[in-house]
Amino acid sequence: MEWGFWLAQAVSGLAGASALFLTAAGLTLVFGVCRIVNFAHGSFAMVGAYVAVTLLPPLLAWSPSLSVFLLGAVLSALAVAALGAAVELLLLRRIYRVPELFQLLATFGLVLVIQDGVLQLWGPEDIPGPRAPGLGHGVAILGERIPAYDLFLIAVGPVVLALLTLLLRATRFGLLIQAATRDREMVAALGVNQALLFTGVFALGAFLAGLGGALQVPRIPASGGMDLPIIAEAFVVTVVGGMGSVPGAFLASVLIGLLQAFGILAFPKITLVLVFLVMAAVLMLRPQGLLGRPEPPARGAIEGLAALPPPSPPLRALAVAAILAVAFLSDDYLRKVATEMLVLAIAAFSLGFLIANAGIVSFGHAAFLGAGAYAAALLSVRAGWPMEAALAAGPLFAGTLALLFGAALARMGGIYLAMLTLAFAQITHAVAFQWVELTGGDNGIVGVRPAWWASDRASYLLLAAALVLPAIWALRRVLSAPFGVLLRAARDSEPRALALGLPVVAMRVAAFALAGALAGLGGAVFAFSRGSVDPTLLAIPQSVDLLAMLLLGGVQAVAGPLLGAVALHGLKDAVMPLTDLWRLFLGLAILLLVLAFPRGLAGAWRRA
Amino acid sequence: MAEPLLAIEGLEAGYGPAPVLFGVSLTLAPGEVVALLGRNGAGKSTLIKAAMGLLPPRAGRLRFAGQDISGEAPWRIARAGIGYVPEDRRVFPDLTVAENLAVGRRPPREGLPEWTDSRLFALFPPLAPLSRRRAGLLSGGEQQMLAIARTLAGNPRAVLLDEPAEGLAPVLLEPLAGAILEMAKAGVAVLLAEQNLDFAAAVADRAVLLARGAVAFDGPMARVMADASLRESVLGVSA
Amino acid sequence: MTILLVENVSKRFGGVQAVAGVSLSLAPQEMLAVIGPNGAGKSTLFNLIGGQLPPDSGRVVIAGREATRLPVAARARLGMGRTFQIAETFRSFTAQQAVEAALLAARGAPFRLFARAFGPHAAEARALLAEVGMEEAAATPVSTLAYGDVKRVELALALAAAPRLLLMDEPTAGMAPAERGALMRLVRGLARGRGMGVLFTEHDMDSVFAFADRILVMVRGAVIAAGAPEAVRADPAVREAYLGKAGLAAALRARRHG
Repeated sequence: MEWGFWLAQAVSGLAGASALFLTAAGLTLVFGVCRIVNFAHGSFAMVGAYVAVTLLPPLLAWSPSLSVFLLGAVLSALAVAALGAAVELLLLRRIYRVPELFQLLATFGLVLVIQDGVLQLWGPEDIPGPRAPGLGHGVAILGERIPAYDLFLIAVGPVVLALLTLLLRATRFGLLIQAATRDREMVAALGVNQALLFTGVFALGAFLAGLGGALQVPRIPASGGMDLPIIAEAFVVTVVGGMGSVPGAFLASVLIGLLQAFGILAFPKITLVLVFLVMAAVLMLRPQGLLGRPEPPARGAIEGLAALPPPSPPLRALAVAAILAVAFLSDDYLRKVATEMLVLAIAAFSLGFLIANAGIVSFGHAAFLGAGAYAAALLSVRAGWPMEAALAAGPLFAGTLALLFGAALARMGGIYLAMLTLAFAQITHAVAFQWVELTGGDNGIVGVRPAWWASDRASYLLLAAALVLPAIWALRRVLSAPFGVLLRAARDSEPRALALGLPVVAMRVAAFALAGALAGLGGAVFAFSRGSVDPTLLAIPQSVDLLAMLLLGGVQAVAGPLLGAVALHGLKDAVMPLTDLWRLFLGLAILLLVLAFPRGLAGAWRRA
Repeated sequence: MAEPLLAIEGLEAGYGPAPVLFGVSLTLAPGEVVALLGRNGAGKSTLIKAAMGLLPPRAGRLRFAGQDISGEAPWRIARAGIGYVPEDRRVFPDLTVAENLAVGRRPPREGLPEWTDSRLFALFPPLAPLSRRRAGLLSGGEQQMLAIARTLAGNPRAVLLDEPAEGLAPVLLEPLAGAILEMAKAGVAVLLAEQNLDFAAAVADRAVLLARGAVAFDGPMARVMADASLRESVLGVSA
Repeated sequence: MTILLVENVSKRFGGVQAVAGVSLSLAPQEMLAVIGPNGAGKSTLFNLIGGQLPPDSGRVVIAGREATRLPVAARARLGMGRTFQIAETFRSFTAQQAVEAALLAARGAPFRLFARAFGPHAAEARALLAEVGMEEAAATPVSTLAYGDVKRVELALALAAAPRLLLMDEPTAGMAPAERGALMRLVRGLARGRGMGVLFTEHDMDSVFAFADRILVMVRGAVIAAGAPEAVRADPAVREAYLGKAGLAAALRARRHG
């Protein structure tokens, strides 16, 4: 009994690991050759799952056999490969030379577009997949009933690893992939058509993601929300395994799969936290991942960005006047909107500080916004703390969380850190979602009420302004103080900063903690304004909203994040009621922005 | 002299804001070995990278075998028939010797005998027993041979060799010189950027001397070897 | 007195012995050049001394303090400064601001959140820029300077920490020939005036023989000769391995015509 139970857990973990490996192998191959981190890779897996649940039932009705099932899965993957090739030809090809931040944003735009596309084509309901003929039964081993399909999936991983290894070692295409992963320029100088190679590799990567998604459907239904969890896990696997290494991806997916299966026994509510801790431990010992090779520090992610400019007194007066006007002359709706804009502004400002001064691109900044909100809400509602104490606890908790995250991972640079911030945010979101007893799960926490003296909207707006505006101004002071200046110096040249004796990593950790605490302050203010918190507050789309605000407003403009917050908020208010395709429009807008101004945008940032 | 195979006219190129070449012109005929000489920083590597399309030329024209290749992508220039052997060799360390050659392999060209693996191993005998060894485990000299062999596997009409003698033990120079002469005999034109004057003299018919990004001399290699004051003023080499 | 002492350091990468039992010492005011063909192990030796790599064996002593396992920043605090083959500067600053930032970094208060960064060290920064001949460019953004000038600003950044030991990796790489002599003259003047020991690698033999007090010749990871420039130039082992190829030239010519 005991043994059978452990076996069942192991089988379930390994089956999940196989599908994860397929997706991660595609991601790592694409990164190795094209040097692009594709946020939409999880979306490809999702599309693979949806095509499979559409294609398989008629195919199986025609001939219910395992080989037809496999044929259907491969056809689904081929459809995704075609989608991948189209994406490479139409989009990525144009952005290989733009700064990494914009590449990441462009592929995130794609995530949004695909989300709405899937919603339009297949509707909002989850679609369960058919069972694989001949594998629908359970196999009794050691007294436990083990699903035969899980055993089949476990075999798929090593088989695909073997096929990929064969492809890489025994075909010209594979040799070119390996050669280009080490030295793209030399491969081109030997007469290899790079454009064709990139399209081919991208299609191969999409094929693997599609296959991973398609083979999952007998276990997990196709659903519109599966893309982000998949990409977050795939990021963890590729970084832990070593970027560009296929065997590394295999090793890491087995490790992560087993961790999740057994972690659930030890810490049922926070399995994902365990995964994150193991990842952090691996990366502390081997920053290049299990089987990766050390790479020269990535450069140019945000090259050419000047830092945020110093504060300007007239603008302060204007901000104070605007707040006073809204507080005393307008209605409650506007007061609420103004309060929320203050919240978004401090979240965006602190993110702008991280990006422009510390050179850290975070795709998970909303995790700290949400952490502050949850901490304040929980302490107020569950522990009965007064509002004042709960408001103070928000930034403290978020700052501590950011400090721990930074201490574990700030040594990683550039794109790795960006990927891990996304994974971290996804895990934070999962904890808020799954730990129902504490967080209320999907419903969140309701009944977060301000103190009596701040319970009307006007007073609360004034309180929010009294907390947020000085915090923003203090942050602006920091930018022109030794800490901010030296942080930017280390961003410009880490070797030079180290050669001057600067504790660069400790400074980055401190910057992370500071930015996290400020976002957390915003979150705490938000919790009492809204009266409730729920997991969407720390979901990845919220993080991307913050990045979009920075882009819209411009990192450099003095009031950039504030204008961005206003613009995005207004845009959402204007567009959302008119159409269900909000994500599609936002995604297309991001794509157009990056495509239309690949240099211009960066240039505009630089000039300001 | 026969119709030039490669003609570089008024080439200007550089890195970032810093210009390196100021209007360089030179030609290369089929089967000819031309030494490109100059001190460190004179622009030898920059010239070769620009000719290969690895650095976008800012001005000037590149013609090869009757085609205008100015501004073309490196892979198109390679397919047109120019081979490139970089200064730091850049073999693919995870791939075996045979696999490195396979990456470079392109179809043979009319009028030139094909560089099969067996011909390449005859040219560089030390590589023959190593064909299944990973390139990353080879010595510096073996990597240099592999880098040249990999480029020859593409059956180029001309090869741009960037300082092949740099960092090699003296005992390896003689066979390397022999291999370059063999290549020329087989009809391949060679542009050899080199600091090692004696090595260049052993293989080149003609020399182009670069100084501060411009051509300071273009003529027979023998003249360079005979004229001590020319060497002193352009190359800073006495003895 | 010795500012840098390297005892018998070795480093192996896979099958390659990159540095094999190298020892050296450097006195204040001294200019010591490390030369050798590509792949001789100069860069690895530099990284072992600079703290980018740990040695497999041997030790590194900076200003009398054991530094073999210290990270880069800790070595900097012992008085080691460095310039890089490709200049490492603060590109988003003006030259003046960059040097002020370097002074701030060297004075060691990186976590001060509300003090003013620029201003307190302005005069000192101007003096450093003047020392490297860049006072005219104080207000120019580093990103728009010509490369030769960027190298001078980099030198000022390194000097901001008042190093007693300066490592320079190919100080004249990428500079116009006319600028090289001037830069090396400047460095020698700084070494003499500040009592700073300078260890440098260099490809440009003119710079090496004109400005080094002593030269260390490395071939395949080991030191094959060390001494004053004239002695090194005359050393037959050096001539054979690196500088001269009198015998080889004859052999090559014979091969060609034979």
